[in-house]
This record gives sequence, structure tokens and C-alpha cells, in this order.
Amino acid sequence: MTRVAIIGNSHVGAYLQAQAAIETAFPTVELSFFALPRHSFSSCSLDEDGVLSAQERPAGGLPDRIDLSKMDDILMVGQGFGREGLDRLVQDFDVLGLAPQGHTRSVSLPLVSEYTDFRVERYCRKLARFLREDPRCVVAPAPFPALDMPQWAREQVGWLDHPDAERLTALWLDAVIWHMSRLKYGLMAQPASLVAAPGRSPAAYARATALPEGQTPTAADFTHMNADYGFEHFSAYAQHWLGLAPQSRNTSPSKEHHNGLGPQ
Amino acid sequence: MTSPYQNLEERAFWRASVGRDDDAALAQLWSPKLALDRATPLMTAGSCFAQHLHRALLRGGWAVLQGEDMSTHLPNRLCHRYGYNLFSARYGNVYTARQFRQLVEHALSDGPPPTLIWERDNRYFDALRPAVEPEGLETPEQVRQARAEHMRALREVLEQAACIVLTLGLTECWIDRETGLALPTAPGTIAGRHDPDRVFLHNFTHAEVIEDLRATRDLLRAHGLQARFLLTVSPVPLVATASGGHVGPASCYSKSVLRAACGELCMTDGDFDYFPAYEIIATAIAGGPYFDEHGRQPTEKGVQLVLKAFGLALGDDAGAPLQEASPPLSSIASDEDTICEEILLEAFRK
Repeated sequence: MTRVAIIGNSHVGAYLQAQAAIETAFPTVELSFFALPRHSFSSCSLDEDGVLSAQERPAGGLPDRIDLSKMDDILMVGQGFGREGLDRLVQDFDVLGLAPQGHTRSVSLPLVSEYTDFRVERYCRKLARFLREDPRCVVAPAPFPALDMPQWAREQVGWLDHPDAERLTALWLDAVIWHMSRLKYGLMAQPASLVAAPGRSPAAYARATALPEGQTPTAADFTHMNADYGFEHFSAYAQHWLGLAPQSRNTSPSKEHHNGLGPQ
Repeated sequence: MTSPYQNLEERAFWRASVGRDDDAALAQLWSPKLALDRATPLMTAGSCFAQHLHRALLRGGWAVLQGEDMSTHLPNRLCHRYGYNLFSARYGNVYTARQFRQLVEHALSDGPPPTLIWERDNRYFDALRPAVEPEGLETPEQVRQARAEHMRALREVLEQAACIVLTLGLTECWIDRETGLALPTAPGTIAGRHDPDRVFLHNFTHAEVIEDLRATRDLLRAHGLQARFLLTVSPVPLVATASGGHVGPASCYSKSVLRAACGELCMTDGDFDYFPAYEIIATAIAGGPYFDEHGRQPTEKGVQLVLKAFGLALGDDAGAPLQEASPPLSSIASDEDTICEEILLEAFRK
């Protein structure tokens, strides 16, 4: 068996909901999950034996520890890489050289670029300290928000809604790739098959599509993905990083989960 | 028999007052003409030394105006690299009285501000503040847009300022022949190309410095603005002279002219005061000089003494706690990802 820990923040939910489908498609894989309380690196500590423990009791019965020493591989998902740091700059200023947005003040593109680099570099430094550059660990950025995000939820999208999102996305991603290349972790950028447009995930993968009937979606349901995404993303991870191909893919994990067939 | 020196205060006598950095001695260094307190809106501008003053006044809790503020968006290092929050607006170093005069003229003018653009490696720089965009901008039009925004912000600062703390640094200045604009640096230093047919060196005289400062004041008044001036002279020597002479005497000339011009204005014009920051750093009057090992940059201790003398002379509590110049970065932008606890709880619950 290949024991894989999926750790991270609220984005772990998509993989957790796809657990049964993943373990069916990859019968040699055994999954474990852990989410950082308050999504903060500083909320956990990794001891000398490789046990990652929450410093405080997590809410709602979430696991408070995971023994990473027993894992063959670690997939750390949902990492922001300072992406939100760009939000305020782009929300508050026009960027000279990019499409004007009607702000009274502008900042230059070199400044935006240096600031992005600063935020990503600082994020990577924290990541490096967190799991001590454990080479078993592959880090995945948080998925891009879904393509069909309604207008009222757009604030969550930040600069990804900018007319020059493609250029800004490239600028941010280049910084992520550069700084992660200096760490011993792997980096798994969002696979092209799970990207609908620059900075956007396909609408079908939004968590909003898999809500129980009658439940009104919130903005977070468009920035978080469903079990189908969790399955597809893990499949891409397994193929590239574990050298495993799925042995079956018959049903939609999100439908299974929604119909009560998911992990109980 | 009486002497005119007989009943003078202690500070009038060298032996009694010079070489001391205690509070009583520092408090005597300056007798303010202007009524200032911590609520007085201050605008800072000037040469490199003005950056020290700006920072020290902010930390000291003085009401320093901050146009084009980026402290809530960027870490200090990036703010400063891009010319933000070094002075009361993003004008970069203003070394000469002429530069400041033209800056105020441009800000108060109703028309589009004159723009002089330099080029380097297909990038474009505002020649009147070439260091604020270290990588330059993509097009000349972007330079013009950024300058227009800067002028709007500067005008707002001028409108609010009750006192302009202006630190004069140089008398040597490069002038663009075609436009007559005073440049902060020679073309070819940061960007542009030195062409003797396009620029010439001018070394301002005492009379010119006074004329420029008075003209600036007159311009403010013509626009109904009431700011008065607190002048200082930067103690930082010239880094180089283009006068043909030795940098040492050239530096002494510059500082002497500026100091004399400040002195004359202070004596003859109620809108101008002079604060002896130069003397505190560069001479022995407060136990100095306070320069680093290269003899050029003021030490932190010297800068702190300047601020202390400033506050003490104004009757301020020198022991008042220092305030942060800008919020710590942790409050500017957190690295923690957006929290969606509910989603996670729900996933684990199922």
C-alpha cells in the first residue's frame, strides 16, 4: 500500500469527499487527512517523531494529530502562496500598463511584481519551516475560483477578476515556481485540465454544484471545489508524483457523496 | 560698567552650553518662532537627511502628513524602494530650493504638470524624481500619468500643511536648458544621457536661494495656503561635486550658502524659522559630530538627538513613547489563507 496524507486547510474537504472514489480507483492507495486548525502553520507543531499535532483542540471533532512518519507521501493542498496579498493592491489601485479600473491612484507593474515576489517568498519560507522541507511532500496551490462565480461573490475572486488576470496570474505563478524550486518540496500547479480560463476553475467543479438540495451557496462554495475536483486533482497527482494510474473511474464522486455513498 | 553679555542666558556662552547632550542643553538649542505642537500638520521635504527627519518625527508621534501613503499595503522596504512614505509625498529627494519651488509651482498649477522624461533600456523615468521607479515605466505616457497623480496628491498635502519642514541639501544643480527645470540628479546617473547641449550645471548663490524660498512662500499665499517654513540644512556632505573643485570645499560652500540663506530668512521674515539639525549632527554643539565611519551619514544617535532637541524646545515631553512609523507587516497582510472552517467541518462530518 502507498500511504498518502492529504493535509492543508478547508480545501482538504474536496479530497475527503472523494476518498471512497480515490481508494476505489487507486486500490493500492490508503489516504489519511489532517487540516490545520485556523488554517495557520503556527497552529501545529511537528515533533521529532514526525507527528504533526494541533496546538489546540480543533473544532467539530476534526483530527488533532497525524503521524506523518507512517506516510509514504504527503500532499499539502489549498495553499494560498500569498495570492490574496495581491488583492488589496489590485482592488485599491490601477496598475500602470494594465487595463484601467477607475481608481484614482496607480502603481507600477514592477512594484506589483516585486510585491508578489515578496509575498510568495515569505510564504515559501513559512512552508519550508512547517514540514522542514520534507521531500515526501508535494504542495498544491489553492484551486482557482470557479468560472461561473455570481456577481455577489466576486469579492472573493480579487485580482483573478481583473481584465488582465492572465498576466497577473502568470506573474504570481512564476514567483511560486521560482521560490518553490529552491525548496525540497514538490510543487503541483493546478493541472491544465482543471483550469477553464486564466485564474479560473471549471464551473462544474465548484462546491456550489454539489450542495444538498435547498442549501444556498455562499461565496466560499465557488472558491472551494467538490469531490469531482478532489478526485481529478488527486488522479493527476497520483499519476505524476506516485506513478499510479487510476484503475477505474465509473461514477462522479460528488454524486456518490451527495447521495450518501461517500465516506461515512 | 556693564557689558551687553552680562545678563545673557547660559546658551549664549560656548563653554557653558556647547558639547552637552543633556535635556537642558538640548532644549536651549532652538527658540521656535513658529507655534508648533504634536497636532500641527507637518509636511517634510528635502534631501536625504529629510528622510531621517520624516521617520523620526513620525516615530515621535508628530502629525506628519503622508500623501500617497502605501504603509498599509506594502512593507517598509518596498515602500521606500519605490519612493513611498519617505517624505510627505512621493517626490523623491528635493535637494535645492529651486527644485522645491518648481515642485510647488507644478502642484498648484491648474494645467498638466510639465514632464521631463528620461529613457534607459527602453524604460522611461520621470526626470524630476527618477529614483521612485527603480525599473522605470513601460511608456512615456505612464510616466505622465504617474506624475499627474503625484501632483494631485502633493496639492492635497500642501493644502493641509501648517508647517513645511524643508531640509536644504545642495546648491549645485543640473538645469535642463530647454525647459529651465531644475533636476534632482544629472542625466546619465540613474537614467537619461548626459548631453552638455541639453543640461548645464548651476551653483546657486545665497541670493538665489533666498529668492526661491520667498517665491515659494508667495506662491502658497497666492493660493490661500498658510503653511510656514521650518528650514534645516542637511549635514550630509556632497557625495561629489561637478564644480571642478575639491568635494570638501565645494561641500562647505554649499552648506555655508544654505545656512546663511536660512539665517537671513529667519532673521528677516516671520514665515521662516531655522532648526539647527545641521549643527547638532555636524558640529560639537551637542557632543557631536555624529557621523558614521565614512564621515557622511548621520548616526542614529545624532538623528535621535535632533528629534529630542526639536521636542524639548517645543516644551514637549521628551519621554513620550515612540510610535510605530507604520503598522507591522503582520497587520498589513496575513499569510494565512482564507478561513472557511464550515466547509471543512462539513466534509469531516459526512
